[in-house]
Amino acid sequence: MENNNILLKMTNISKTFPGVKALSNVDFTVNRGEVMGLLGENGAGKSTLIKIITGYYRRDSGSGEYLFDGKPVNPTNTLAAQKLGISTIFQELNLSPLMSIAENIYLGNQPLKNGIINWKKMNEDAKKAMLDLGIDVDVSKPINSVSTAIQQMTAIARAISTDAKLIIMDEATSSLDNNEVNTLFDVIRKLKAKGISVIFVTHKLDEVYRICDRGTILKDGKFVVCKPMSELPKLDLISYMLGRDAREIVNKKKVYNKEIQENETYYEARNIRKTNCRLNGINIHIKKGEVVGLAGLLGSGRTELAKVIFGDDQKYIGYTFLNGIAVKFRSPHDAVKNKLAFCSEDRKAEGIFPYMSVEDNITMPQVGKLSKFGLISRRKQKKITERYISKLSIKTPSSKTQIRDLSGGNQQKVIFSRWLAMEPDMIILDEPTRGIDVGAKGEIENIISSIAKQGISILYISSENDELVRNCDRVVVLYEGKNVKELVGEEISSESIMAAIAAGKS
Amino acid sequence: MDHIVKKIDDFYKRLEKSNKWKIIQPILVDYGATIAFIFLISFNILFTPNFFQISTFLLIIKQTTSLIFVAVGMTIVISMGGTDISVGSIMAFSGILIVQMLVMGMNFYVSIILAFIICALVGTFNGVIISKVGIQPIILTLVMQIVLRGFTVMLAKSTVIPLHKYKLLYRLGIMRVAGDIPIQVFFFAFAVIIAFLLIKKSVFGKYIEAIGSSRKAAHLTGIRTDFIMILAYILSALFASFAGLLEMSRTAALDPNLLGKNFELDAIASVAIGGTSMAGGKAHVLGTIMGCVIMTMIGTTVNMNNVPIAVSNIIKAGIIVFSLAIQHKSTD
Repeated sequence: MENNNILLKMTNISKTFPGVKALSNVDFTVNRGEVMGLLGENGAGKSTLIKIITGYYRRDSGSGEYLFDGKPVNPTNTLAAQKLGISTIFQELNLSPLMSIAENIYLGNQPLKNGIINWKKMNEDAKKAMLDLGIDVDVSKPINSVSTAIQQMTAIARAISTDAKLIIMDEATSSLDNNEVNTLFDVIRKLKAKGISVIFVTHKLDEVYRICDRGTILKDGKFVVCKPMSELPKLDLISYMLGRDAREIVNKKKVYNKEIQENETYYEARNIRKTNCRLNGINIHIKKGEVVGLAGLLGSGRTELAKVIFGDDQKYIGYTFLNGIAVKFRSPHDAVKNKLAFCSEDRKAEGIFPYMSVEDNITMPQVGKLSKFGLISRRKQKKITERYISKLSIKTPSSKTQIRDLSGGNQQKVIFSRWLAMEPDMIILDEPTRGIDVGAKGEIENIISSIAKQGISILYISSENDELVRNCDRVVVLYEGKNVKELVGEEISSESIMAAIAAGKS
Repeated sequence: MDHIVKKIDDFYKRLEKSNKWKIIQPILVDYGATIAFIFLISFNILFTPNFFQISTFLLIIKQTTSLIFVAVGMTIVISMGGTDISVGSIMAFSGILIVQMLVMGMNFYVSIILAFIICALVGTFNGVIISKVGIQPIILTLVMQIVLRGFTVMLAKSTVIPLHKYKLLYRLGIMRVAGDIPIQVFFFAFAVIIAFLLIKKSVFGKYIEAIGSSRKAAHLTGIRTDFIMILAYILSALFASFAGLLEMSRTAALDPNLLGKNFELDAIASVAIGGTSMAGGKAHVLGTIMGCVIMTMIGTTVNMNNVPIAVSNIIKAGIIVFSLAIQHKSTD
């Protein structure tokens, strides 16, 4: 007899795309009321598997078996999967921005009265559904006026209202801050209590340990292992994902070089304030060739400070100095002219030019210099591009390939090349490893340390404290728009950074 | 209705997932205009009497030239992620300015230059409001379309002005160079070269595509996005004002209500057929030019086969919908 505790059982699933075998003979099971982590590097086949579960793709004909709730199923589109009880909550949420929370929950199955929508009942039901998840919110508010976290809860409430038995969360936490993540995890626990299963896909390994019961690891489209999280130490997990021993990558700390503190100050910002209170008097200086980390919670003012420094935001009070001379950048154009560079945390929206070639993406700040009478020299463009493709070992079919066809790690390398090509004096890196898988992360960090060795100052913003420990000479901790602590050299550790953030809180 | 939308959507999904579509789609986007062009030519050679003659080709080019100028400006603006539907009215406005100054007895060349400067100021206004204030381009340029048409009709006192009196202006319309080649053919070639250099080869063109691709990323790369956007609208207005001069001299009359009418639509259609991304980020110069010729040829074909001219609008609409459907990208 089949084990009745199993909700989803996939055996021997294969999926072939023209030229690529995305999945080969993968097994995947989810129990009732279980949170299953689906883990692996980019390209490991996670999203292909998810898309087969939700009916977006079909598995290769004749391959394997797909059982849901004990019955063989074969959803042909996402709607069919939803009818079976499989809902997906994407990173970019499928909500109607101008409609209210209640409308979004019941869109398509609004409670009716004599053929028209029963608004009163809908709002009451919605309120109850949100309270069920522990969220007290005005459900008549339009969805674009509430935080991403509440939007996600709305999507979850919607899934529950359609009798979902399995909810798939694909990178659901990537745009949430710590508190919001906690709320989401509380909700996931409530879902578990109701017997609803969750598949949790993420790059953030710490979260996997906090919420998942078991983890399934894929690599190169193949099933590697499925184990309870308690039997899967972090280093083993990473090693499984990479297919090699991870020990030498993770436990590294930057060798502290005291001499850097003797260098001249390259950039200084004094008493930076913004009237909307995101910045409350930040003082920061960066010496030549120094890597300064900026730690703090989401909303502590890290990105805001970066944008002030780079001239993207002029509505601030305070003084900024470059090589000891007072400057004020009126736009990023000014900053670039003064040899500053900035890699945004939102690579997709603020970094890449998705439909342009790798070549254009790398040389964009330079094209003015590479031109005669306003016409661009293709030859020079190509020379620079080829130099950086080999220097940073960017994996791309050609320099003419559109950048959106590259993996996240390679896109980031293209952005680095863009700035390195203009030989900057300082680079601001805002979450440089966000959305990049573990293997490429190591590579990106190696590039960063080689940049620092060239004498380029770096302002390194990151939410991942161990990343700061591995890369920074000095870490400045921000809390609510103020610098509350400075850690130098040997003082830097994950614990000391956390302690400083916690101390700021009290 | 929902049912139909879903069916269409499913159809696309299936197409996009199939391997053949992946190969065919980019080809259709890039060369769709060329294919349509070849189709139209062969159709005409086979079925239209007296089509396959050099004079017919020269006539088509002559009729297309003003549209080409407008469409080149439109290609710039659209690939930057904007749109400019005031160009038709700018054509008429530039025309009436030139004629008014000629009436006042000014030198022909001076009046042209002054009219162009005034139109460039209109473009500057468009660009400044759109980039700095952030009003939707389609709304602002719609307002300009209405306002400028109003000014034109007012200045012309609602009458059609014949241009036979103004010798230089009249000659520009009928001049033939090197024996029997209409001067418009040279302007046509000039527009093609300028467009190619400006959009495909220049720094400005690269910045335009960058802004169309991602305005925020362009800004953070140190591109002066506002300045470039203003420049694009100025160029669009300038190209339109030149087109106004050409069109008015070709027809040897200035009808304040009709000069440049619907040119913005034909220009947008040409850009769409040509494969320039309607969302911005990718400009196809040769596609646009091909598109312009197709737009004119549809009219000519219909005309020469004694089909009512209204049919040409229906054919145009069909072509536009078809070319946009091809551009439809998967949301994945």
